[in-house]
Amino acid sequence: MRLLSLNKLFYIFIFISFSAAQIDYTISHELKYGDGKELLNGQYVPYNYFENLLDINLSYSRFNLYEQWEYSDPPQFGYPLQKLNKAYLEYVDDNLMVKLGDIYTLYGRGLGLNLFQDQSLDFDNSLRGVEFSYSKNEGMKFFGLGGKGLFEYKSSPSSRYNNKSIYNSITAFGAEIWLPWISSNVLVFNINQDIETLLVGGDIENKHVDIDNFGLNGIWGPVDFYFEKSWLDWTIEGILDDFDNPINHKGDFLYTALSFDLFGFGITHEYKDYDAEDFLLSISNPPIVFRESASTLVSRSLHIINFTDEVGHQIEIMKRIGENYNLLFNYSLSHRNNGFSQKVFRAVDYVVIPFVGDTILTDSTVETKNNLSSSMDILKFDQNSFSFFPYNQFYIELDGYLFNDKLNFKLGYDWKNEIISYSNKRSYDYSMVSNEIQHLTDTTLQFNNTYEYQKVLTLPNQFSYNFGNGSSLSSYFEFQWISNNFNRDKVYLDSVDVSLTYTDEVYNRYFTLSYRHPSKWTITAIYDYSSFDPTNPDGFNTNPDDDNFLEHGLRQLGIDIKNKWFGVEFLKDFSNNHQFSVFYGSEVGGLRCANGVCAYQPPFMDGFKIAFRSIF
Amino acid sequence: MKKTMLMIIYLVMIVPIGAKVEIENKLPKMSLKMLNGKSTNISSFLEDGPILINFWATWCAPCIKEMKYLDKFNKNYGESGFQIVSINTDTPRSLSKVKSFVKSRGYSFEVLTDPKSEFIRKAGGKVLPYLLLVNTDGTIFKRHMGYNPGDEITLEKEILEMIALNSADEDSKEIVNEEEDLKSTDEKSDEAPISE
Repeated sequence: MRLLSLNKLFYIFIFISFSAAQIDYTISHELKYGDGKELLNGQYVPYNYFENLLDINLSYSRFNLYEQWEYSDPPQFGYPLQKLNKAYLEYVDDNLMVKLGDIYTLYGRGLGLNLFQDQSLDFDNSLRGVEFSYSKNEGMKFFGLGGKGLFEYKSSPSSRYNNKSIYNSITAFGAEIWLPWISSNVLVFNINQDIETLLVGGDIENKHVDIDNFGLNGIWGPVDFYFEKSWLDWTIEGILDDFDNPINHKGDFLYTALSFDLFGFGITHEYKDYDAEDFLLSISNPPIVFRESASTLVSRSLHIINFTDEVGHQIEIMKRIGENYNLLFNYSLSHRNNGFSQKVFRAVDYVVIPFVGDTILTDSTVETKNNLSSSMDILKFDQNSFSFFPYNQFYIELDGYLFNDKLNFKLGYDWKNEIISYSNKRSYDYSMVSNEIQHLTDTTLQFNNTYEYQKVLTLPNQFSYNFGNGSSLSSYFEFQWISNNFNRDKVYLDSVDVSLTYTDEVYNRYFTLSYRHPSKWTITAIYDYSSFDPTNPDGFNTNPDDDNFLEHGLRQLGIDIKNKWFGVEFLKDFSNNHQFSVFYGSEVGGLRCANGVCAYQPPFMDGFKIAFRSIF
Repeated sequence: MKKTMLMIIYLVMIVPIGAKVEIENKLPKMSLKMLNGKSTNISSFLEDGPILINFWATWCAPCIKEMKYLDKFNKNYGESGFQIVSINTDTPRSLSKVKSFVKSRGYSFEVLTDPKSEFIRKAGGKVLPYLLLVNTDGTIFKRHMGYNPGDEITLEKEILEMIALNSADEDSKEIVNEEEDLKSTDEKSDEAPISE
């Protein structure tokens, strides 16, 4: 199918609008400019961006046109772009919706299909094609889509650029049916996806994916429930799988949610079981089933979910205490579906390893064993479970108002345990192996418990004082302690060498203080401190010659600025439709809630950032 | 590219001065799901009076602070026909918690969900929280991006201003209707002798 021309959509709409009696519009523009530095592979390099996004929404009668123009040279993330980036033309009436152009949509909770754009992460998995839905009556809806799209993604989340891509071709059809006798909605759909990947060396790998989905949700008395399951079936044809005899792979995603009130407590339980190892996620984005935090420091040490191999639970309990206080409790845990026990390498194979790689270990010399009987074993967090990448996180928060609602406070306590890496076959190198050969006196040697165990305690606190005349003082006070324990035991017949075991202790602080003036301007001071950054072990801000204007001034005042980031931001709202902000200094990056808005910020050093937003 | 730019210029300059064409900044039309799972059209909330639309998410701290005041405004000015319509933009990542959150806070306003962020995109929202004050005829009265404690004072003034403006419009419509009724009655009474 030939891709639709975005310009054509625009012309069609203009043609229609000639006969229009009335066009409704919303136009928004966002400009971002930055001139500073970033830390790349241990070196400070210039980091400049100039990003313009113009979103136009026009409506005439039952037609809607959306366009997104981008002029970025370069953007905050990704490569320069100067064109009409996204557009769609939509027809909507009481029963029918037809959309032509770039499609962003969500089926169920996104286990099978969740197409969205997140500019702050340079993520966009939209398709260009046609989408429709038809409701025969309130109890029945049919929907479907067909389209193609280039999906670009990063091999490393910290990368500024997408460095991988696949070409998607999708058709999907489904129905949503209301079943009054069980007060529930049934959702069924099927997706056919063809993926074309250009491999290194010019080879092409094709995947055909078939997704069947079933969902059931409803309200039974005081209980809301949601159940969804996707069955994934995919075939790979390429250099790894024989073209003539392609291998069929299977997997499934399961998600359930239950929410109800009990004695004034709002309780939500969610469960996930994502089991589709090696499945390439491009159009699916299932729920994460752990807490999305509003804390800057917590957002920097989030659990990294494995969407294709993870089981987990989340329970959240909320309680309003009196008129002024709210209590929140959240607990999440997860682990991989399959772990493995210690792997035993025979000496004769072991000597061969450095010359032929890991492939020699794919036969009986590797012992794989699932040794976790239930998710509750995660609570023990002992070494038997480490190969399952266990994770758990506990959060409790109290927020409320004091002094006639003038003082608002939020006190939080966040505790996370996670095995963030585990391996017992790929962590050695040739020199190490050579040194160890002399220990081989008999037949066996084990690498045991090669892992990184991270414990994080964060205290995210917020205070704001409302003077009652339109002005206020707001602050975020966050403290964080991180312990990264790296462990690798080399077990010999006669001894255990634990010389490669060590622990990094990191202490972080994050403070902001904002003053809001009644005439709609805000000034914010931002302070960030990290006692140790593994990517920059020598420390940050150690050389006075590299100081920016702000750092120079603070150093002159006798303040120690090593490993500290300082920033100042000024924001002004103009006539409700325009907002201008300018930032000077450095910031570590992550979720920043300041000046009354929350947004993800990339790491940025020693420079200016300007943002201007307008809505008409 | 040049052609497209020319078309934009054409749209901006020619279309508004066209004899029959009006360009208005109105609330986009769209159906969204309520927390009870039923769909409703946003414009149906305008039947009783002007509304304030509030876009928020459970992870957005300024949004939560602002909603305490929005709840008060909804209670205080509900009698005039004004109401708050709250639109949650949590993605499927955290959508399941929205209902519990709203219930536990005891908000008095209606909450709808926009998990695809489709409506906020159509409404021009770039940051959270994002507010729209909407007149009864669907035109946008005011917008607000972000929230800092203290902003609720201006917001309350704007709500009152909007309520007054829409009431005045209603009154003037009623007066016009009454005048038209009187006129038609007079005309009928004038016409009556002729018909006789």
